[in-house]
Amino acid sequence: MTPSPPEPFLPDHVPLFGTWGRIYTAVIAVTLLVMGALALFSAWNF
Amino acid sequence: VGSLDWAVLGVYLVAILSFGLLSGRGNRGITDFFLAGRRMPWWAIGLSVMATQISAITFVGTTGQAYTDGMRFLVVYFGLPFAMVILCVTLVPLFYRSGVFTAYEYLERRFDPRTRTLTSLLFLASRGLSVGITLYAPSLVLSVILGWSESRTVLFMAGAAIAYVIYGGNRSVIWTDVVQMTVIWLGIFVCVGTAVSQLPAGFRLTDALALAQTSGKLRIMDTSWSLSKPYTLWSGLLGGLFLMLSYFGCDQSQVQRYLSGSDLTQSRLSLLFNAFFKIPMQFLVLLTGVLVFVFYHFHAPPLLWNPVELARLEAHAPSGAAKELEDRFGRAFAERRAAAESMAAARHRGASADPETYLRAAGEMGATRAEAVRTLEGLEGGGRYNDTNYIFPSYVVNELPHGLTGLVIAVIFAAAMTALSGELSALATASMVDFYSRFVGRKGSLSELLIARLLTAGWGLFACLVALRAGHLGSAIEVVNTLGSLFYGSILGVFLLALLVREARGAGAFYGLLAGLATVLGVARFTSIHFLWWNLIGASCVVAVGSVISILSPRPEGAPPPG
Repeated sequence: MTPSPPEPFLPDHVPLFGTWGRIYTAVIAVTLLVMGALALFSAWNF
Repeated sequence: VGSLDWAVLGVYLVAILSFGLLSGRGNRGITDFFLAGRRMPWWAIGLSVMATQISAITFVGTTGQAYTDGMRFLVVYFGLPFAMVILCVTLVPLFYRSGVFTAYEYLERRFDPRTRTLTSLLFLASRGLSVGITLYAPSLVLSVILGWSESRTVLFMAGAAIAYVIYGGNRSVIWTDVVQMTVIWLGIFVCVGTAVSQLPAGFRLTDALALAQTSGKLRIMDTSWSLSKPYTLWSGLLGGLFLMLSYFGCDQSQVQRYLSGSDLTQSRLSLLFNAFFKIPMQFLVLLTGVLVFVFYHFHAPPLLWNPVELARLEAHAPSGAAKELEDRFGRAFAERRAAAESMAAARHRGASADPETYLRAAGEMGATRAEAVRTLEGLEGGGRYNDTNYIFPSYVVNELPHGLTGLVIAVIFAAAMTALSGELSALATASMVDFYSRFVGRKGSLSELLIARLLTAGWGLFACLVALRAGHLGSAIEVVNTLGSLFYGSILGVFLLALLVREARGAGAFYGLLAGLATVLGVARFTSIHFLWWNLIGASCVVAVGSVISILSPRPEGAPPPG
């Protein structure tokens, strides 16, 4: 089998927020929020 | 386990096999077979990526880990979202636009054939052996709990998965993963809901969490900087980041999933889907283990969770010793239960609860159990005893209502089958693309699709043989389990070298990889540094040594200048 030749890929579209950079920022922001919530859960006086 | 449970499990196995065969129709070539024709949507790949990472033993082991050690294991996944973003920016577009089948194929284009061969060989060696253990470990637990023979459990788990992967390839893997991941999520919610509903009357969820907190089970954030301490916040963030970069960026069983996307956006979104949902999912799995821990405050737990080993202790321990230990354990349990109830009652009155009696009774239970383990290990033929993986299956079989028991056993089967199917498909792809096609392909007369199916069948057979023989491997199992951790960081280092160092060349990558492997082996053998750091150490070593060798070695004649 020969290595695949580059295929005519569809253009890389950005599904939301306009740019991939904003999407990544949103992912990291949500991750930090989740970690903050977990820290709160861990330290909460039940 | 009642007839309703067997019916649920039977229906599940028949349904998943049928669905796997149906969804895998229409493979015309190896792009279809290995990459699902590059036509998959992001949500299906995302669920498949998640499913491939969950094996049965990580499912039952994680709940058991929460029972014994609390929720701090969660930090292992803290690096995952960051790793996903880094991969979406770097390796995913590189792999996708190169049109490669395997991650290692890219290394030949960037460096040289031997670097590709070595990295693919390391993947085949570590993943090939561990896939058998992936199958063996849950089959051992389920055989003890269900009373089946190990071989029957292995064949039931592996048979259906192997059949649909041989027939449908990666398309079957991804679509069955979607169904199985849905079943797994359903099972997780059922477990959490059931564990909450089984709390005693008047004992609220907040009482359960307070009890778990008193026992230290809710502690997640340990900010210690010790390199040998397991599951600190920093080892999770930094070590976990490199672990996840290695696993999702360089392990073919994951790379193959996201290379099946219909475009680069689908591949990226599938990883970001995991970035969002992985930590909450693991939190729920660990919470299930914590709630099972609370459940056994009000229902007597066994002295040892492995019933076969408990029977051995009772039969062979010095006269009366096992009985005495069980009586002591029972008295401490009764004292702990009374203390837990009185703490909850004090909370309801608004008074402060004194945990001293509770902690003393819990300590006595732990000490009695530790003595039982020491006695067991001291018996003739006794090895190291660990029953963490038996806790959750024991709870499922003995405490869940009929029907739900069958569902959760089906979840354990699903977790085993998702890991197995993804790994078999990846092993067959790497064997064919990185070895057969390069060294044999032109001389062979069989069609590529037939070879791909034969290789899948071969790896499936090998996995079953390893699983069936694993009981005789002894401590070799631990070696097999850690093989991935020994190799992954160094393989990641080669990819980092390719991305970060423009001057890097084949000799630097190859010898840098060897240096990284030797360093990690030395660290694992001679230091107490926790395994979460090994990937970072291996990757850093490869980048450093590879850069120096590349810069110092003469540039081949006719080679273009760097950059």
